Parts: sequence; C-alpha cells; structure tokens
Amino acid sequence: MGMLGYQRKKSIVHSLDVRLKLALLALFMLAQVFAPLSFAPLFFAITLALYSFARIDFLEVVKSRKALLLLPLIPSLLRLLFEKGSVAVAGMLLPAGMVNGTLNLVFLCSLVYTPLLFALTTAPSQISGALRFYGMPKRWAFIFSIAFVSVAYIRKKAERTLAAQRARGCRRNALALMLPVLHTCFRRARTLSLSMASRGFDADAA
Amino acid sequence: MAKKEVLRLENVSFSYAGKKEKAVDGTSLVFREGEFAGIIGAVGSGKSTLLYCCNGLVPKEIRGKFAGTVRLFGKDVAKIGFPEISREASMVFQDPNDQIFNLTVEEEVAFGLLNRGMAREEALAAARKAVARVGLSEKLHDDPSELSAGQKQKVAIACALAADSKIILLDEPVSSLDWRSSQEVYAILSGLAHEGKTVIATEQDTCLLSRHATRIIVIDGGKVVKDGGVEVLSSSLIEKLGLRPPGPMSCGARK
Repeated sequence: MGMLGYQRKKSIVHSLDVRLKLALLALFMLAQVFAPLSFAPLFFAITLALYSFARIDFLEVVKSRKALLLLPLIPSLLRLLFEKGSVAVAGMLLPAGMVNGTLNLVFLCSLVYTPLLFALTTAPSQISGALRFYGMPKRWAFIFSIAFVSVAYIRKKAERTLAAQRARGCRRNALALMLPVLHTCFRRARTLSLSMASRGFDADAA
Repeated sequence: MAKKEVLRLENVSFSYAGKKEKAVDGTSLVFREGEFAGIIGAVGSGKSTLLYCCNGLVPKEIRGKFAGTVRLFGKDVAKIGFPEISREASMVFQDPNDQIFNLTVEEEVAFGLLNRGMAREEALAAARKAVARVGLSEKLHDDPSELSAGQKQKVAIACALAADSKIILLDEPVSSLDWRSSQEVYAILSGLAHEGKTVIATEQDTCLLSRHATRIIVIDGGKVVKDGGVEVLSSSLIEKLGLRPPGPMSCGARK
C-alpha cells in the first residue's frame, strides 16, 4: 500500500460518485477551515465515522503512515508549549496552550486524514474524470491521477533501492536514497510520456 | 504481386540533442504488409532509435537533429499528429513497467482507444477481446503492476492489439522474459503477421527471430549493414557484431 494507495473495497464511500465525493470533500474542508476551532472535535468525529463507513481501519492508516502525523503534531505541540493564558472549559479554567493545542491537533488530523480517505477510496483513473468535470484542464487532471498511481511505484522503487544499498553495506542515508529514486522517477516519466504519446494521448485535446 | 507498402523511411538520420554522433545514419527502408521484420544489432547500434523514428516519437517527442522523411501509408509522419499515427502504428516498449500506469488490466488496454474518443463500453469490450487474445482473461480486473514480467509484457502487447493498428513496433519485447514466455509472445506476433499486420521488432535474441521473422535488418553504427531474409542470421556478420547466431540445438525447427 503506497502513501496514497487506493484500497479496493466494497463500501458506501467507495461506491459514491467521484464527482460528488470530490465536491463533498471540498465543502467539508472549507467548513473545517472557516468554522470556529471548538467545532474541531465534531469534524474529527465525522472523519472517523467516514473511515468506518469505508471499512478502513483508521489506526492502521495512521500507523502505516507515521510521517503524516508530523503535520498535525508539530504545530499543535508548539501551541501547547508556547501559548499563554487560560480558557474556560465546562466551568473549569484550563491552560490555553493545552486546550487550543489539543483542538488544533484534532483540527489538523481531520484536515490531513479526510483527503487521505478520498485517495484511499477513489481509483486514480476516476479522479481525472472528476477533475475535468469541474473544469480542470485535461493536462492537469491527468497529472493528478498519474501522481496518485505513481506514489505506490515510487515507494516500491525506494524499498528496492534501500535493500540494494544495505546489501552493499550502506547505512540509511536519505540523500543516497533520494538521488537514485529521483533518477528512476524521471526515467519513468520520460518513457511513460512516450508511451502515452504513441497511444494517441493529447494533453491539449478536449 | 508485391504487397502494399505501409512504412517508408527515406534517408533518415538522427543524432540526440547535445551529441555529435548519429544514432541513425542515412537509413532508407520500406516495410510491407504482413512482414515480420527483426531489427538486430549490438547494444547502442541505433535499433531503438530507428524504431522511434517509425512512429514519429523521434523527433516529435525525443529532441535532436533529424533529417529525412518517414511515411506511414504515404503520409509524412512529421505532418500528422499522434492520435492519427497511433491508429496506424502501435508501439510496445522494452520495459512494460515504464508504460503501465492504470489500475486494472482492462483500463490499461482500453487507454489508447479512449484517447481516440471511442465510447467507454466499446473501448472496454475491445480491451477484453485483446486481453483474451494474449491469454490473460482471468487477470482482466487485476492491478497490472502486480503481474509477472511476462504477463506485463503481454498486457503491453494487448494494448497494441486493441488499437488494431496495421503496424506493430516492438522494442526488445522479450528482453526480461523467460524462454517460455518469449516463445508465447513471439507466437502471438507471428499470428499477427499472418493476419496481414506488419510487425517490426528490435531484438537481440536471434534464435526467436530465426523461427518467426521473415526479414532481418542488421544495424551497426546507425546504418543498415544487411537487409535480407532469415539466412542473414547465419552469416559471419552476426558474430562480428557481437551477436550470438541462432544455434540449431537450442532453437529447434523453424515454424
């Protein structure tokens, strides 16, 4: 399963029309951004419910993508540590950093994991069609759907490169891993574009 | 009666951007209906580049200094777009991993047809037929990236079959396959040539070509040094170029 790997299952969320799913996702994200922070737990509860409807284990998703946790965690920790003052919560006076840091964490988790659910429950080939329905140019819609598919490919390549390096005694080194993986990505992009051109793909056609 | 001309290269030369030496040097070739042409040569001899010239990838997508004319059914490839070219000529690349990007075999094979504006149901039906032809019907809804190398290459060939183009260009189609899968792939290609399609494959495996090809073109340094029937494979030129001639023990009888 890649970072954004589509998981083929039978669920209400999977079977929703992709255009509707995309529209609902956009509305949900906007609602979260503009709603007061105190509504964050409600939105997070909805996110968890959606994962349940999609028959995807939320904790498993979080565990298998630990790097994503940094996105909500770091700003929330900063808030927890440096925000001063107090807020009243259910008649009690609590440190503002603790309250707002927690709400911020819940808010950001929802912001990160709801779009991820979209990627987990939507076939990349359908994303392109939905984006075009909403007016995105063909070229860009295609770039998005290819990017989704390519994440799993890049992850496999990274694993193989890492294994090859370790077999030759190389320690884990992000730069040593990144360069060959990037090279592979560019090579794949090149041949993929040739293959698509030879199959009549025209990025500028309607 | 001479068979219909499908592809003509007239004095084609090409050197990659930033490089002085020519990858293809003054090559003139004519391909006809029903031919199964094998293009052989050592690594770096210009086989793949020559193939890319046949469907316009050189110079439209691959930049460099290009000279000469390539005509596909009489039309200058430089003056027609890829959608039109792809109707007449399909290409199968050496590494199927680099050309597969859809989530199911069915969608992968239907991709080219959908680009032509074919209705989705019609495209999927054609895809199913092509997938059945290569013997992968049970894998129709599987993720092509999870298939074996041989199966992936068959998917790539199914893409070319679904396009129903008259010319099929293949760049070392069996380089990553075992002997059995290679024979299966070449049997399919032979069948297509018998149906009147023109198959042009670059290859290092002279054994397979000796059993299936009707024409052998030998490339060295970007130039055609020999162009003839299968007997070319028995000439001393093959060994001189560093290629292994087909051996009677390992290749068996010609089909």
